[in-house]
Amino acid sequence: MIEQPQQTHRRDFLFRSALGLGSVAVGDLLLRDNVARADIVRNPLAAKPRHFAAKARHVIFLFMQGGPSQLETFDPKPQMKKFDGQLLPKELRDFDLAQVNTADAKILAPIFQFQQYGQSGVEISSLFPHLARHADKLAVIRSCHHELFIHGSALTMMHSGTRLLGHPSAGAWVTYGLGSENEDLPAYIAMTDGSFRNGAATFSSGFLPAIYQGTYLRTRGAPIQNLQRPDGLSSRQQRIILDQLRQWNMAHRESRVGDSRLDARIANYELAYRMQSAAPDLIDLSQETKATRKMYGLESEPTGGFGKMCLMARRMVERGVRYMHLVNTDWDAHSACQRNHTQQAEKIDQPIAALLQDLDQRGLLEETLVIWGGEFGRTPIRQGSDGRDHHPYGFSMWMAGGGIRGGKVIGATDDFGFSAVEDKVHVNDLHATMLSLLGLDHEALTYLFEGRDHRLTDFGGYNDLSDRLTRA
Amino acid sequence: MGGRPVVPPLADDEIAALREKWQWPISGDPAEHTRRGLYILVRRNFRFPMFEVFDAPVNSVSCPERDVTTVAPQALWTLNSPSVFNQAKQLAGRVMKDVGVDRSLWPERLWMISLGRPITDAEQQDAQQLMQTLMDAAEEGDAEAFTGTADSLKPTPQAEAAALIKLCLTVYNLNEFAFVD
Repeated sequence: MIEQPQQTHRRDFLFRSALGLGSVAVGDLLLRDNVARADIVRNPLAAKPRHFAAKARHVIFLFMQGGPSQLETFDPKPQMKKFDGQLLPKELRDFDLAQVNTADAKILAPIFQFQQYGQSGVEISSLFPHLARHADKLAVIRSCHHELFIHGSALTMMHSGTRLLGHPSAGAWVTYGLGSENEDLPAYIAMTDGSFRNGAATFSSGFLPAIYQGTYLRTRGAPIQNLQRPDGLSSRQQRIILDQLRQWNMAHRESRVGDSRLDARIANYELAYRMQSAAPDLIDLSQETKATRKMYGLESEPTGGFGKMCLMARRMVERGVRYMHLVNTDWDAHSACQRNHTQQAEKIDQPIAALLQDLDQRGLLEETLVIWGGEFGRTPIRQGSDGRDHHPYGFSMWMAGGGIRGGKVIGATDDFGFSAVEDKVHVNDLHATMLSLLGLDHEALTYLFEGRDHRLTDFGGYNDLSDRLTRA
Repeated sequence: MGGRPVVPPLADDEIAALREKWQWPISGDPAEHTRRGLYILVRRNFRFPMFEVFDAPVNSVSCPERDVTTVAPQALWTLNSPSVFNQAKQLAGRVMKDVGVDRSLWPERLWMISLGRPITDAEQQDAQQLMQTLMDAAEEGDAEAFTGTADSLKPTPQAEAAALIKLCLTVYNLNEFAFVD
């Protein structure tokens, strides 16, 4: 983006470096590697070298907004049946929760049956008959935990590794760390079949340069609006306009160095121009065979919505999109947990199974890390007659692909599925693991902001599971 | 102030996000269509597409703070959306009304109206050059398709009017236009 960095003043250069590299991580690269410097300075989204070799190149985060219950999905507790309707043991009665009181609420036994699947015998509840066929691909983590029991802050934690607002989302960190592999599409995409409860903060770039934020694709109507040029304005004429626009915008920027929005906007016009030819191809699902469309449940309800998102995600992986954040709503079962979870699972089970199978068949699962989970789990105690409240102290997630050897279970909660007790995995650890699988060192991926180096994993992330996940 | 909400027309791909077309009953009086966005009909299950591109909050939950993003779909909107195109046409008409059909006078007036400052010599030259290049690059029928039959553009040759509209479109896309210092 900057043609001749060596001719600029040092202060000016450092300012511009904030374009994508005010950080120590890339700052080091600048000193060490002139080639990298030239590349990065020209294009903040250029593919960047990793800290170490890794298999995963893409992330698909299947985010179950609202918080799915661990006890109804991946953490079987058959022995809880005999405690149904009783109080929790004394030592668990002193935890803060959103709406129910641990001191007087009664235990609600798990609602669905579990069964072992695959050669590995990973236990999965009856909610996911399709996914169960892929049990040997999954690494289930039953000991996820954090300390935030309200949606807003828990989502902020899951998305950005801290409870504070204004921090970059995980996808922005990954894009900042690895750049893009496709110059014609955004590197980081967010989609939802409902709404993002935390709005655009869900895929925000926070204090990172604006170029790293996610791009929201709609799932109804045209995913990307305004791809069609006005009549009488050819691609060639638009190119002429954009060249002049760029020249004027660069001149305008000269006296306003350091405002990353200006740079993002300049880059966006180039991306927008290329998206006009690349995006219609991406979103045209009619190119897919009937069998594929059927596998994802595209033509039927209730799988159509999330199926479309999953199929789009596979097409994005093929095109080199780096990070895809797919949100399914809404698992917030304060009442009628059985009905809510049945309905939600029906929307996602077949599409997710199809996604895993499809990626696998195309040889893409090995390079694509798929992560499933919500912002927290749900209480072992009942809310009302048949609901469960928010529960961040022990909940389940799973990962697949991206070099992971599946068919394993990591960590455990106590007898009541209340607290993570074995091999505790904080959100920071999850993020560290994800970065590790992508070839990024969570301690080296930093960005200087307000006087200190920040990172996705904040002050945590020291239980990196990547070694164990990729081992047989 | 007051009155019924405004329902401006939408493109086909925009209205496709609604379950039923009757849920978007376009206001009969075209003068209504250019009223401020504040008056546009708000449906709980549908965000006005342009607002969506520019981070309007979701209608179903409370909004503690307005988000600000800078992403490529916004660039697509200011490049290709029919509403920006219509605005460019209006702006071109206004420039011609103010300074006449002599195209050497257009850029200066356009800069004053849209950016609130005099044009520099370099920009003047670039702008003239841009219009000429665009005219040279235009193909048979482009100008007609682009300008339509707006009365405000009438006395000017269509090819030149089209070039001015495209210059206006360019100005709408400037960072200087988008961000106030």
